[in-house]
Amino acid sequence: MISRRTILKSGGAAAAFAMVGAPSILRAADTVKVGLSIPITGLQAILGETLLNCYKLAAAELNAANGIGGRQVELFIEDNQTTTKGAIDKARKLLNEDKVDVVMGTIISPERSATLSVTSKAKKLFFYPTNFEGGECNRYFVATGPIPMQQVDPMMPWVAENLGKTIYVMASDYAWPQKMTEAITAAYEKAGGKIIGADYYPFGTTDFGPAFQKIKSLKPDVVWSMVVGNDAVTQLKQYRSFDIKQPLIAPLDEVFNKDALPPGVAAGTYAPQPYWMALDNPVNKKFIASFREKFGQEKMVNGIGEAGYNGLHLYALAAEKAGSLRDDDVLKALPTIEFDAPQGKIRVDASNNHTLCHSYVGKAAADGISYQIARDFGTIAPVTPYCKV
Amino acid sequence: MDFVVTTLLNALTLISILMLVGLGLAISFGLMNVTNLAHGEFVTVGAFAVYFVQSIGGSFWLGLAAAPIAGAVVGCILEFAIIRHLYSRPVSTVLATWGVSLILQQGLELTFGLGAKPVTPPIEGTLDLFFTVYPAYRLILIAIAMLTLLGVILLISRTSFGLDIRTVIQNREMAEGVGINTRRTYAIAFTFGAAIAGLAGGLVAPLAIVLPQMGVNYLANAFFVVIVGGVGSIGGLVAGSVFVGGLTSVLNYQISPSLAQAIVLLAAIVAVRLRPNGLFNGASR
Repeated sequence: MISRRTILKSGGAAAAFAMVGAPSILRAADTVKVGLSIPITGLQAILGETLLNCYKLAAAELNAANGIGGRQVELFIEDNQTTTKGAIDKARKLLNEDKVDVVMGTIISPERSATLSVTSKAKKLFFYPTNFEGGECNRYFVATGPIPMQQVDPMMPWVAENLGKTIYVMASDYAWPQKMTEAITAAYEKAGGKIIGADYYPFGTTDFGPAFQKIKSLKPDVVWSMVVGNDAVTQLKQYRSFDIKQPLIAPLDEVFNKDALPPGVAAGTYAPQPYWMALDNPVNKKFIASFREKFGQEKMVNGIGEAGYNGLHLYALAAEKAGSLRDDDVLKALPTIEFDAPQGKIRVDASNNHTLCHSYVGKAAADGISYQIARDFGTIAPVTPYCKV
Repeated sequence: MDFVVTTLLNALTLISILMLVGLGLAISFGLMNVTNLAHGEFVTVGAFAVYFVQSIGGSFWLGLAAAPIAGAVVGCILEFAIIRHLYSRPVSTVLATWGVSLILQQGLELTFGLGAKPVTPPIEGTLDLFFTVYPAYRLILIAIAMLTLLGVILLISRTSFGLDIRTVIQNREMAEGVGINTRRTYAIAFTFGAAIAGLAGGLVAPLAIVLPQMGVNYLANAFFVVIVGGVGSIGGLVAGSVFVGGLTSVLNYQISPSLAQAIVLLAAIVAVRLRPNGLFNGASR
């Protein structure tokens, strides 16, 4: 209030304009409140830390420039503990107590669904950064990571041509791998390939011996793993010990490889991602340099983190263009803006509020941490027959 | 032939792990009637011992030697500080040991940081067994597990300490009456079980994830094995491990692993119904 009065007394034209004439975004000396629901502890803690740092970086960049329409970005950080209950409690706290303007974050599907159950009822914007199984459709839900068709459709002809015509799928038993397998099967058959087996393992599996035995008897050209999180560590350790020669496609990234896997076990594996640290463009170079300057020179960054960073920047651009922080105004402006992201230029599709992401296949280098770009499929539009917002 | 041998070895790997983890539980749950929900944490502590020794430059084998010691130390402290005061209050033990398991998990997380810890196996690659090729480390694991089992059987059946344990289990009052220090016997038996679980943790460290929360993956199965096999005997433990481990390995190959797990559970329920005292102990006792 003091600053408002000061501005009023100063009577400057610009200040008066800011107070009265302009839309709400430029009015007060308030901050833009961005609520973050992050798995800081629990099963996704490793990826959660990187995601949080990416939001901090985006906020610092915005604040070093002009904030959002002249207002500083203020982060409200909450730990959802990688649980459904945590995600619901923290979303409620962010909306009801902190009165945030937008909610961002979460990694695995239970966190996302739980958060969305709160934000959608409140009609508040929720930006979700992780690649996921799709199927969510809500006007106030913005996905900045890819759905299966964006990763798989362009990739399968390449797999059929370069890696082989038969695939065995071994995966964790939940929604994302099953939807991915559906998408893989459809796109791969079109490309002349065939899925010759798919097994889904319950969470907490400690022995994948039978799956490796199956690989030895089925002799697929390619093994596609969608075993995730902690089980992926177990699975990759054992995969190497069985001395399986087939190329492995696994949903890994630089952060997970460095912080969770024993050295070298990921070497030579392929992964589809919208972003890689190896991308050779000035925006990405600057992104990595600023990230490391802020959080440590040895730190890695990944696709989920980059999508979080993009989400906050997309929101800022849309809010500035709308000249308002009202959810509906931001939503209206969102598809009309474009952000020069580390992965390349991206924008949000007006039909479903999903992002037109890039699609790359990376191949893990001999160190088992970093990736080389094996193939760039360009920007892929998200097609969702089940969703129209 | 290849198929049979690989299935057999896969089953033996699983049986070995189940048996080692179950052994400590067979002692505390089966013999002392203590429901120890912190038993999974002995496995975790053993695995972390290997990680810790490797992280300061020691070899895997040194770590594996430290694993049962770490398990024993934690087990001994737990018995001395908490469990011995609750022998007559089994329900309180459940709550207390669950609390201890949470404290141990968070303690490890605070000490060693978030996330999985890397452990390097002592030997990479596979061994050609004529019929099939199989990971060399798994063969080592099976061998160590079998030797440990043999050692435990000899200890129980051939030493005077083993005689004490058997006496105390059969009748605690009578054992005290003939001059056995039952409190001391319990403490040693419990510590011993924790040490074996620590060894199991050390053995699975190169094979599975090493994480403060890893113990829970082993705890349920260990109870399972002890109950199905029949509480109170090494034979029952072996029978339970072979039943659960063997069935899981064979079914996992044939049908969907989630369904396989459900079927193993169902078979176990049927087994417990038909032979309430365990597979090994027969219907009457």
